Amino acid sequence: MKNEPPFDPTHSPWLATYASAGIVPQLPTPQHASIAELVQERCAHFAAEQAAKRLQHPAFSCVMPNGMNGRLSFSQVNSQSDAFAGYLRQTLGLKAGDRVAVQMPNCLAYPVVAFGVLKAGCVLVNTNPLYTESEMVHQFNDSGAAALVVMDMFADKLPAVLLRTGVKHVVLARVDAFFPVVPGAVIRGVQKVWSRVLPPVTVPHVRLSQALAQGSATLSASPARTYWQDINHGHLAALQYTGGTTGVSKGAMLSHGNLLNNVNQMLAMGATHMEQGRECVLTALPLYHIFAFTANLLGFLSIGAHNVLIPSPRPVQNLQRAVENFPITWMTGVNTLFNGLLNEEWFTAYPPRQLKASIAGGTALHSAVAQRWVEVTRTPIAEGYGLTETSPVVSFNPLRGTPRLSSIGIPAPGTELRLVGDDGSAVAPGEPGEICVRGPQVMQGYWNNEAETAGVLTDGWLATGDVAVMEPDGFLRIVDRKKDLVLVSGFNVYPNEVEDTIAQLESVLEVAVIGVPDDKTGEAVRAFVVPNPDFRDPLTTEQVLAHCRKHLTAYKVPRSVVLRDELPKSPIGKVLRKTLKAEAQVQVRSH
Amino acid sequence: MITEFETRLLGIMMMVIMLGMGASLTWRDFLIAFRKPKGVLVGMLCQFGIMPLLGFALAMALDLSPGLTVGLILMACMPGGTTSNIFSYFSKGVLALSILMTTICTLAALVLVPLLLEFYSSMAGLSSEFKIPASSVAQVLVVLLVPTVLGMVLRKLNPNIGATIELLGGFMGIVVIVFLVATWVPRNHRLLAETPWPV
Repeated sequence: MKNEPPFDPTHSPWLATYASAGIVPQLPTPQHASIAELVQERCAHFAAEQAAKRLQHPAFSCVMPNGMNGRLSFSQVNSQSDAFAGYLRQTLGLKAGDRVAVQMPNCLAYPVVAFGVLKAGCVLVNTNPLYTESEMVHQFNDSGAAALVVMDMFADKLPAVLLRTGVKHVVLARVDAFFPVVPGAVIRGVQKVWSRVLPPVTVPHVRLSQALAQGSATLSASPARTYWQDINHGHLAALQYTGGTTGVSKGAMLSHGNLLNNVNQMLAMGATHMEQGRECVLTALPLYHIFAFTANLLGFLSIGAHNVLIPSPRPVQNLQRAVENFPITWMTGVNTLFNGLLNEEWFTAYPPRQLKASIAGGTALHSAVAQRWVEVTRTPIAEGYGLTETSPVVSFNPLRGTPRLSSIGIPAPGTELRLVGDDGSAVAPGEPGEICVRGPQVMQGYWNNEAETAGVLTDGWLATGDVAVMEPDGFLRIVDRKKDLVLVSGFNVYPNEVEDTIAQLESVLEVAVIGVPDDKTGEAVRAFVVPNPDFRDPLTTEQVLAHCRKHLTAYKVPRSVVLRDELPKSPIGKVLRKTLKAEAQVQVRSH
Repeated sequence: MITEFETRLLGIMMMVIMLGMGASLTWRDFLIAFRKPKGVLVGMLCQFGIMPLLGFALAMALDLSPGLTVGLILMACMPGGTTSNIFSYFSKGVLALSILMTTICTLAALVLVPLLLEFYSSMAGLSSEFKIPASSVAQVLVVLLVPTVLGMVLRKLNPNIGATIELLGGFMGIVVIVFLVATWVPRNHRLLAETPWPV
């Protein structure tokens, strides 16, 4: 439009949207100096509410697939994490700033241990329990972890790993920690005798219950407060290793300030649908991943919510008891999870009645899934965007108002954001550019890796590697990851766009699109499609191609469509394009 | 044959099993089952349409004596009981639908079994009168439904208690089935020995 003033990239066009969405644009300074202080103060506050009968629920519940569950009250969270802090600092003699690796799926031991580490003034190194030995060795050596808290089911890799790392102390936790006697015994019995998932532990170790007892005894002489009262926002809280979807995993240094600010940013977004002391959030995503760590563990805890932890969200039927037995008001998830639930009759026939809202992150939320979710649950689902390096929230969709499908929303309060072209300067309005972020949530850098840090952080601005387009009102649309772009005869094809199109077909359950080398066009688009098993007619590749030709320009239409039973996924449920690419390379080489 | 004591014991075990099955359900599962009238109709067709026909055909093919013919047809008409629910549970079928079917078939049996027996008996050239006492039907339904509802209530009150009861019920279910299968021969060996090959 001719008479409009030229777009000023330093002006934040999304500020106007905050008002209509009920979001406070000013990000408040976090009232706590550290996560330890947040946990201590908030849990004490809600424990008092509990005592006064104004709060009826525990801080955490952990629900097994058969419905057996355990709980931790707010006061227990404080007392047990204090005990663990005492164990780390006094019994083990760790110092402030020492790294402690924690390798557990969602369970009641997790908050106790994670908060214990932070209260001890140590640095948390979240580790994926499903890591292979070499991944564990890399992470423990890179971080210099002095102690490891691991779930007993995964202790079989320890002998080989410990030989090659500097980890000096091992604490063993159980998935039924803090469970009532009978269910705990049943679960242990099943693990030992029926499913045989408990390997013999041959390395020297201490059981978590012992560690807590020993730590608790040290508290009278040395209260836990002494370990954390001098921590401030600049101190390191966690080394969060980014999932290896792009390269060798690196530890993003997240300070207390990073995480506390991001909690406030996330709460600012959800404030319209959150009530202090009344929420019940389903935590199916792993807490060792930054999304659930910040949002569920820290964010929802700080508003006194009831966190319902699911140790193993796959298969999705494992969530059934939790959803049926608890009054879930909030959910955080990824596309795979929401899609999975929408394919379960027990969920779609009677979706949780008290559900207020959901946040989707981690990977792109397909618009077909988002629409169906809203139809089935009659609640908003807000897609958000972020990275491990940004603690993680960068942008989100406001929960109020009409949802904008396929958009990652507007930057969170306090975030500066611009879209940068290949030449390093801001792109013209409406043009795709790489998202660069500056704000209180941006990491301090990569641990012990100046080179990689310099590669992404310049002057406080983080280059995310994600390409997006911004609409005039500030809403962003991710186009794709720079590295995932497919160049067909020099034209950019964004796999997300092709995936979104194919996902519109009801007969398609899941889809992933990659580029494969091609003699004629340089690269060609290949789609991997998982047919929907509930659909009457079997899916054919012709149907997929016909649908694509109808909706996409010729060069974007896949050259080949491969039908598969399933797609390779990361532990959080992200489809691993790199695995598909590697498989395609092998095929090419073998011809 | 089963002694009186065994019958009572079996009855109690069935109640425990149904308590466990109930603890695995919520009322919403039943609502979902209600939305599948086709399922119930198919079940009834199998139970009261195909089964008695099979029994009759088998009796004719084997050329059984009148007493055995009536006995076989009667057996074929009888609706499935608790054991069908156990199989549903373990094979991860729609348990609520199975219980719903058991209930409806048991009620329908009051009217249908005598009718079917009379029909097939007359086809076989025999006459027979058979009436199921309503009290038997009531008893079956009580043993089926009361523990189920109780189980559902317990689960609602405390999911841990519910899950533990469900585990016990499932365990008991396996015990009962294995017991019945394994001890059938020893318990009926006299009957087997006395019955000559040509039936």
